[in-house]
Amino acid sequence: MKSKKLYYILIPVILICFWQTISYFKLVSPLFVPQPYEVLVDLFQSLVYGSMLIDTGYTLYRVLVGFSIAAVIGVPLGLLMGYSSRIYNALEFTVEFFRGIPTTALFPLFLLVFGIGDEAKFAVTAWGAGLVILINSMYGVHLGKELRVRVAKTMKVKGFELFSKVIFPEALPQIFSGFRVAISLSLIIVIVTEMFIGTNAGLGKRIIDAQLVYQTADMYASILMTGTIGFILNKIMLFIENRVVHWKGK
Amino acid sequence: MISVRSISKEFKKSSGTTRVIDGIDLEINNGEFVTVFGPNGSGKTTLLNLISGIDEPTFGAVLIDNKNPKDAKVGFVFQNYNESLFPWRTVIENIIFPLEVAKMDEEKRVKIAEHLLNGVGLLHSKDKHVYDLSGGQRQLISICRAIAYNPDILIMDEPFSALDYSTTRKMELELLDIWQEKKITTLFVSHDIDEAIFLADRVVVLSPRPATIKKIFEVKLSRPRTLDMLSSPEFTELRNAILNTFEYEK
Repeated sequence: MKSKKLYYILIPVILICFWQTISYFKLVSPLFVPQPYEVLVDLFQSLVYGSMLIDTGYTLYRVLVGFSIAAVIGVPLGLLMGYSSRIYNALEFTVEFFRGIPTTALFPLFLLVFGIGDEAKFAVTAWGAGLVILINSMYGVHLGKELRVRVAKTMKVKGFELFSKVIFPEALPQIFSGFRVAISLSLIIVIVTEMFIGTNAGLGKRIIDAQLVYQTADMYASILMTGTIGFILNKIMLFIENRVVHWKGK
Repeated sequence: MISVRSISKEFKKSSGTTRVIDGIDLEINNGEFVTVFGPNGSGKTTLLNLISGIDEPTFGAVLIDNKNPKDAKVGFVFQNYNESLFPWRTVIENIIFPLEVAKMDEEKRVKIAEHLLNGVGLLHSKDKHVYDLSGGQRQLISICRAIAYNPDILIMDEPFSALDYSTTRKMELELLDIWQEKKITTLFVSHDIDEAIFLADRVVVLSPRPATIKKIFEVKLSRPRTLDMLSSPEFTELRNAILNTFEYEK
């Protein structure tokens, strides 16, 4: 147990030592690479006295709203596409086409449609995350064990009951795999939208602002914060997944 | 009573039609235990699909208590218990499933499920997840689920072939206990000749594809069956007689 924990922190410690060495001996200009403790001090000060907590809050809020819209639309639509070959045939080309377009390429379009407020950020995040959720939900139905559906059919289960009691739970493990990819993707998209679509607060804005005025310590601190919430969001998702889809891999 | 009236099944392929079942006639009395023994790939599973109403014969008809199999209550136990049980449901919830679908009230269905679980000695495991049970126990749960809603016929497709020798023998005894209590009409497919004889009132021997009935053997061993019968002279004699039907094909 002890050695497992040791392995867990080994690489981070090496990375920090590496960073410390570079900045201490000024192998790279301190303007670009401040010392680790400066970043930590900045992180602490911005969190306690500054506006980083607010920025983090805004970013999280956008991630969660965007992700939720994506899930509410993506799961039912994906399940329907997996279930009905008619709906699949009707939507397959469109979905595959839009899936090929990087979400970032659609920023200008979303700006035109939704303006520069939070709506555009929600929409673009929901778009990117929604496609991932939709496709995973669809595969969830396709990859589900056919035998369970047959079992249910021998018991004369049909229609919505077959869908809700067998096909949906059967697809859940794959739906959650989609959720985990989508939550990370949502954070990426929100950060990028905050950088390039104007906003008053948010970690993305904070990173780009700090970079523009060479406050590199604050830039690193904001990146660190972004990484931390990404890590935590993924852990929370994994926790929920293990609770809900307790049978996965068994 | 199950009447199988000269059924044949053909599958259309690009290379032409393949006949899998060729004119099978069979009557199974109420409460009778019939086993079907035949070489692998002889169309046993297709035959079960036709009798259970999952698939329709090309020629001929199947009647279960004078009803179309699609309208009859069929309990089906598949070989692959891992892919036929619902892992998102607990043990008792799995057994309740067909009763829930039949809209039976909750108190009654719990009572039926608990009675069945008690019968196979698994009442203490009722709230466990199915993946926490052993293979043999899981298949017992499948059997309980299949008979929970008092089916007109219980159909079993090589249910024990994934289990080890001693578990298989134990399961056979459990199955006979349940059958004796419920007097449920049972059609059991096996590729294990000892199993086919040990369980049955009659053994139906199929020919290789396209399947026809080669011969039907009556098993005159007394009931309840005990494991020492496996080495009795009557048993050995019948076993030889059945194996002899395959002899002259070489």
